[in-house]
Order: sequence, then structure tokens, then C-alpha cells
Amino acid sequence: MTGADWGAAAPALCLLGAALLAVGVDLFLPRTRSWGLTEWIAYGGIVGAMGAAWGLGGGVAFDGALTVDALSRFVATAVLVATMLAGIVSADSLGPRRVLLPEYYALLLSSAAGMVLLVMSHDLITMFLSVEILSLALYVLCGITRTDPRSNESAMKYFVLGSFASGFLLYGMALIYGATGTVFLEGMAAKLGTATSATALAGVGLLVAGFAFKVGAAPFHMWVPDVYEGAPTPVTAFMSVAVKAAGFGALVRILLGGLPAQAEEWGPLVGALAALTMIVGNLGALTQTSVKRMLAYSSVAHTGYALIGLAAAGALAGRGAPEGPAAALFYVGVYTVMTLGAFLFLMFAGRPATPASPGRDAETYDDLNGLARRRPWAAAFMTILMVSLAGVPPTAGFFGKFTLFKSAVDADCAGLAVLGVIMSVVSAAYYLRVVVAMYMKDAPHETEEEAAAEPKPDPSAGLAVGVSAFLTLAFGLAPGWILETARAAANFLLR
Amino acid sequence: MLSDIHWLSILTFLPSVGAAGLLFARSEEAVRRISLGFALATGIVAAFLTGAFDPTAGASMQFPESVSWISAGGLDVRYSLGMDGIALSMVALTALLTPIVILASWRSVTDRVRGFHASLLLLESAMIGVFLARDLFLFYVFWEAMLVPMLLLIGVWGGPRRIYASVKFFLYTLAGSLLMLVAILAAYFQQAEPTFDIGRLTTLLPGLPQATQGLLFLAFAFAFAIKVPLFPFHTWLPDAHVEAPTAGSVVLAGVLLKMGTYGFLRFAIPFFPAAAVSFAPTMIALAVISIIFGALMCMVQSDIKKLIAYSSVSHLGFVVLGIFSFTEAGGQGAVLQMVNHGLSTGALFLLVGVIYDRTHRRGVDDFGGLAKGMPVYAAVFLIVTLSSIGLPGLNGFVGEFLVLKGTFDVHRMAAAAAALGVILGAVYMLRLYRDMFSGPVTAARNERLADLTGLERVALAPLVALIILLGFAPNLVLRRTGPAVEAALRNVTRSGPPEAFHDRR
Repeated sequence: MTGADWGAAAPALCLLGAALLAVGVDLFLPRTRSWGLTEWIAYGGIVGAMGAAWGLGGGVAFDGALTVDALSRFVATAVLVATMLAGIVSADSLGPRRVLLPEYYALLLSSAAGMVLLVMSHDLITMFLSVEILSLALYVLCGITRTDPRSNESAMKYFVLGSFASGFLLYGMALIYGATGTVFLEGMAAKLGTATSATALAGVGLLVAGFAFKVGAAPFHMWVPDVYEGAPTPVTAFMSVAVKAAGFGALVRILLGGLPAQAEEWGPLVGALAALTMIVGNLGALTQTSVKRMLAYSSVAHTGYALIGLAAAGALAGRGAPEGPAAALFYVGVYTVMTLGAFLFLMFAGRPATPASPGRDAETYDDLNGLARRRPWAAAFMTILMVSLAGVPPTAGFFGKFTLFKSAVDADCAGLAVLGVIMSVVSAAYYLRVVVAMYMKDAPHETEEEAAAEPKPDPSAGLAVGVSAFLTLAFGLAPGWILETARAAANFLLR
Repeated sequence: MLSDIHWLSILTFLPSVGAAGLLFARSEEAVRRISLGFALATGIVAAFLTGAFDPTAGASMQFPESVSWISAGGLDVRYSLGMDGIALSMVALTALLTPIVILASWRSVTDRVRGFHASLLLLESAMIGVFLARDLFLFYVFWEAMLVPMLLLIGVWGGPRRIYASVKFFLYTLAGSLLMLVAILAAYFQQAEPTFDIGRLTTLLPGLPQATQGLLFLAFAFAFAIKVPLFPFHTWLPDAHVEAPTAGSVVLAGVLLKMGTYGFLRFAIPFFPAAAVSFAPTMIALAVISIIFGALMCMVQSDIKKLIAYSSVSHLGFVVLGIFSFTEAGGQGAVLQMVNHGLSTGALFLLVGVIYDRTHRRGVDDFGGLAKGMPVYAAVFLIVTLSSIGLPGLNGFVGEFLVLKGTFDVHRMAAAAAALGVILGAVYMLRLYRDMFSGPVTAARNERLADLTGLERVALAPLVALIILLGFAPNLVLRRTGPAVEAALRNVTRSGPPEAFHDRR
């Protein structure tokens, strides 16, 4: 292994090393001491990975299997931020629910390592292995509250359907390999040229379907609400954003890096996926009574919005403008912050764990009734997040949608932009229900004694929600820097 | 140097600073004082700028500011503000009404005072920003930023059906404005060098082909027609007005509705003149329907607030009529009527709030003979009623007259139908006054109602004063708005150089 190899692998190695250390420490120290320590080991691993991702040089490593570039840095940053925020809130809420924290953190970090590898991988084999690393860890994470049947169901469902999708992915890769004789993306592009062989096209279709499953795009979204609802909330928050960021990174890389000449074929396919996903996600979210399920459907809907950027990239491929993928990446970054904050808010708004009880996250809209009186700051933060998810300025969600619709209009896909706009109005209806519940409805009556006896909410969740809300506003008011980064990430593909 | 100060930024963000300052207030009374202080300071800045505004400078933007805001990804969004006569009159109206509603809410809002005043101040910032923005993106951001504070004002401090009303308001407005967003983007890409600068767009966009103009005009017009609201997009308005607290109703009627007509005058017509001309008959028809329909709805209302809400539909119909007459008299009358409606309808909602605070009723039938126990209240109500129906000597007359004159020159039938609306307006308003104030006291509970308190008098006094002042000296507004109106309609003015009203002073 050369220095470049080590440098490229360093972020993933940091995460995996911390994961091993967390489990190892648990073997040798008494539980009372090791549990507090594992949390900090995990943070150390994440910070180290972040430093390695930005500090070490870029380039091709492992004979072209991995690349470190602006795209991998951008997505890795989103993934690591999500891992950090999810990690911060996990210890206090999952510990009392009898989750083995060292294993939990080890799995969380392994999954993050898989994601980081996924966006760096430059050949199909590495890509597939990364997908499996991140997925296997996530299957277990979903079921980590072992005594909760819904968590078990979530894990089982995700595992069965996820394996199915992995099959799609692998079959697609096999067909592409069959058509081109290479697994490296650059080799693929060179080999295929502008030719369109039926085998390669079938491969592309299966590949897109496989990734569509992983990022939760309709019609491959069926698992999303059930899995998100059943999984412990920090896990839901983590996977709803990090998997999506990594999956989008990989899609951008494979479609624009490996198959740019086939844009005429995959462009309309992605456009159709985007339209269907927006419709299914938004209409599905409209009828939910559980906020967690609503957010699950909303994450489907947002996948649809982000796919608009890829569809625009497909339509624009001849002109070589990076606006489409840049908009998609920007949106994924923004989405990470907003949705993470919204899920973590459900923990903060719920009943916190006490020695006597394991606590309960807020779930239905009614659970949020009157929250603005009890926890005004949290309610204000959640309002910012909801408004941003609905795409109302001056928040990041608005600017994200703005750049997406802009790229669509620019690529003569105004139809997608109009559909996105109509669906945004639909989405406002369900996001507003959260604001309405918090501000305009009254909490169930409780005596002053009961109110005083109520345990204090977990401050780490409050901190995470506050950070998310702050970033959401900041990215909305000053989006220039992150948009430039997203453009740089998309630009290299179109050299 | 006086000219180096960023007056318009100060004006726009002073209320926001006040909203942030509320976080440090220890008591509810302190919250109210800080809120009033910042609203008054904003009002003083606005008054100063009204004085410093140079009416002889033509239609150019005064006190301009421009810095790059978002410059990335081929996007060039600028934070640029500027003020012409139309913007000035609307900003002045906003800065006048906000401290008034803060005073009016002093005693009547006792629940979650901090949130109430923060929403109100943030709303004021966004409203001023809408009128001052010279960049289409910036305009859109301010335009949408109004939604959430208004949603909260109606939904948290409103009446029994407040949730339904506030969500309906939000979704209606959002639907319109998001469609406008797509049109903004389409307009952006129609040019060789994409820009959001409103001044440059006004010179570039009229060159678009008719079909493109038509589509873009429709998208803009949809957003603005909902905001005005023009029949048949008005159904959110009665709900929102009836359920909103007094402050919400006043701001909604006084300022928010004007954004629709302002949008027509500033964007839809100058950007897409060919389309505006071809859609003018439709718009005029909708305006006339709004006038007549609104007035007829007023005749059958039993809820005073709902009656005033429908009267807004009727009055705003006049404004749209004046604008789409494409004559200078019509345009001038429309802008003056925007100011007048803000004053008189704002005052009417305040007055309904006064009686509602005392009795918690607002049915027309609940009252009768109030003039006996509340003479000052009755007198103020009478002045405002007469202003609303356009009595000569009060402000409403000049605006209505100009609108009708401008329309009569080009569409006689429309002017005749609109004049019918004026008559109906007199009928429903005077009938309301008769039922509420004259005759014997009809209900025992109304016998001992207190007359206007000192606070209420202070809140209403500036409105009454301006109603009378503008009745005699409408040129205070007209000479400032004249060049701007002329510029706004320049792309569509048909009948040669129109007889310029402001030149006759």
C-alpha cells in the first residue's frame, strides 16, 4: 500500500478503528466505566475521520478502486455530521432502553464507514461492498432495542427487502460488466462511448432500481415508513439522512462519471422516478397520524425533489453544466440537516428516560399539542425546520428547492419544477400540522404537581435540534459557500 | 454624510432587531414597551424618509442600496433596496399601522405576549422588505417570509375557528406564490444574461414573445390575485379576517392585501405589457365582479368583521380596476385608494376590536343605539364609515373618483358597473351604522359600555387625522406617487400622453 492508499482509506479506517476500540474497551473495563468511554471514542473517531477527509490529499488510490475528490468530501461531510448528531443523542436515550452502547456505537461507526467508502468507490465491486457494509450494520441497528417488537419488525423488514435490493444492484453490475468487460467507472465510460447495448441498458436500469431502493425512491419506497417508524429514533434520524446522502453521492458518481454518454437513456428514467416519488411521498405523508411516519414519507418526498437535479443533469448532459447535480447535492446536504433535526426533535419533545421508566419519544401529532408553552425554544426550532422542509424562505429548504427548480427550468424540464411546486404546497399542509399542534392546540390538562414532576428533557437532543435549526437558517441566508462546494463536487465529473 | 447611511436597511430591519430584543424583556409590560418603541422608531425613520423623499426626482429609485448577496453557481442575487413613490406610500402605511396595532393590542392580548409582539415585528420587517426590494429573489424571500408570522398571528391569537382560517390562508397564499417562483425562474432564463434585478428586468422582459409573456403573466397574476384577493380567489379572506385578532385583521387589510395590487403594478404589468394588455379585459371583468360581488355579500352579513372583510374585496376591486384601466388617472387613483383603504379599513377593524373587547360579540344584531352611551366612539365610527363610502372631503372620495374617471375614459360599461358598487357601498355601510348606533339601546347589556379609552383614542387619532387630511390634500400622496405610476404603466399606456393629474397642482 502506498501513501495515497493510506490517505484515501484514512477516514474509513478512523471510523472502523474507533468501532473496534469501542467494542474492545467493553471487554476489559467494567460496564460502568466503559459505557461512558465508548461514547467519546466514537466522537473521536468521527472527528478524526472528518479531519482525514479534509486534511489528507486527494487522488486515486488502490489502483483506481477509491478516489478522494470534492464529491467524496462533500458527501462524507454530510454523513459524518449526521453520524455525530445522531451519536450525541444516542447515549442518554438508548442506554436506559437496555441497548448495549458499545455495540451500538460500533455498528453506527461501521455503517458510517461503509457510507464514506461508498462515495469514494470508483469501481463496481468496491461500491457493492460498501453498500453491504453500511446496510448490514443498519439492519442490526434497526433492531437494536431487542425487547421492542416494532424494532424487531423494522429490522426484519429492512433486512429482507434490503437484501432483495442488493440483488438488483449486483445483477445490474454484473450486466454492465458483461457489456463492458470492466468494473472501473472510467473504463466503462470509455468502453461504452455513445453506444447503447441492450445488456448495458438493462444493467443501468437494475442499478438505478437498486439505488432507488437504498435512497427510498418510489416505487421502491414501501419499506421506508415501517422501518423508520419501528427503528429507535436516533437510528431513524441517522439512516434517513446518511444513507440518502451516500446513495445520492454514488448515483451521481456512477451516472455522471460512468455513464455520461447514456444520459438520454437514464435521464427520463430518473425524471419519472422523481415525479412518482414526489407524488407518492407527499400524498402518503398527508394522511399520517404519526409524526414519525409523516417524516418517513416526507423523506421519500424529498428524495423525489433531489432526483429532479439528477434528471436535469441527464437532460443537460450534452451541455455539460454542473447545475443539476450541484443542486441535488446541495439539497441532500440541506435535507440532512433539516430531517435530522426534525427526527431528533421527536426525542426532545417526548417523555425523557428516568430511572423508573425508559421514556418515550413523541409520536403522534397530539403528542406535540401545546408544546410551545412547555418548551418554547424547541417549538421555535421545530417551526424553523418544518418551514424549511416545506420550502418557505428564508430557510435552507427554500434555497435548495430554488436551485433544484432552477436547474429543471434551465434543462427544459419545467414540468418537473411545476410538479415540485404543487407538491410543495401539499407538503405545507402536513408540515403545518406540526406547527398547529405545537402552537395552536392545548396540551392535555395536567396539574402543577404533575408538571413539576415531569423529568427534564435530554439536553443533548435539544442541542442537536438547535444546531440543526441554526444551520438550516444559516444555509438559507448565506447559501453561497455550501452551494459553491456542491458545485465543485459536481464539477469534476464533467471535466 | 446623510446619504451614506443605509436608511432603507435600517427601516427594514429595525423591527426585526426589536423582535430579537424582546428576548431580553423580563415582564409582559416590558415586552409591550420594547415592541412599541421599535415600531415607533421605525415609524420615525419612515416619516423622516417621507420628508427626505424628493418628489421631483421622477421615477428613479431613491436611497438605493445594493450589495452582492448570493454569488455562486452562476447565480447572481443581490441585496438591493430602493424606494419610489409607490413604495414610499406603502412603507409609510406599514410603519404607521404597526405601532397603532401594538397600542390596540396593549390590553386585549394577554396570552403569550412575547410571541405575539415578535410575530408582529417580524411581519413588519418582511412587509417593508417586500415594498423596498429591487431584486426579484430578495422580493420573493420577503414575500414568503410574511407567511409564518401571519399564520401564527391568526392561528394562535385568533377566534374559535382560527386553525382552519390560518392554515387556509397559508396554503392559498403559498400555492399562488410558488407558481410565481417558477415564473420568476422562467423569466430569469429568458434573457441572454440572466438577472434578478427588477430595473433591468423591466426593460428586458417586455421584449419576450407574446405567448411566453402570457404564461408568465398568468403565473404572476395568479399569485397576486390570491393576495388581493380578486374574485374567485377571495375565499380565504373572510375566514382569515373573522378569526384573526384585531391586530392581525388590521395588518392583513391594511397592508397585506395591498401586496397583490402592488405586485400587479410593479411586476406583472411592466414585465409583461403585451400580455397585460391582452388580459386586461379579463382582469377588468374580475375587478368589476369583485366590486359588485363583495358589495352584495356585505348586504347579507350578520357578522361585522365579515362585512368589513367583504367590503375589502369590493374596495380592492376598485384598485385593480384603476390599475388595469392603464390610464394615469386610474393608476394614481388606485395607489391613493390603496393608502385610503389601509387607513379606513384599518380603522374599521380597530373599531370593531374596541366593541368586541367590551362585549365579546360582533354580530350586527347584538348592538343598537350605541351612540347614546359611546358618543366619541360613534363619532369616530361615523367619520370612518363616511371615508369608506367615499364622501367628498374625506380621503376615499378622491381615490374612487380618479379610478372611475380613469376607467370611464376607456371602459364606460365597467365604470358604470363600478359606480353601482359605490352606491351599494353606501347602502351597506350606512345600514351598518344605523343598526349599530342610532335608535334606542336594544340590549340591556349594552347600556353601560365605556366609551373609547385614552389608549384607544391615541391609537385611532392618527388614522382619523389622515382620513381628513388626505381628503383635503390628496396631493400629499399623489405628487409623490405620480412619476412612479407613470413609469409603471409606461409600457402599456395606450391613449397617448394621458392627462396628468399631478401636473395640475
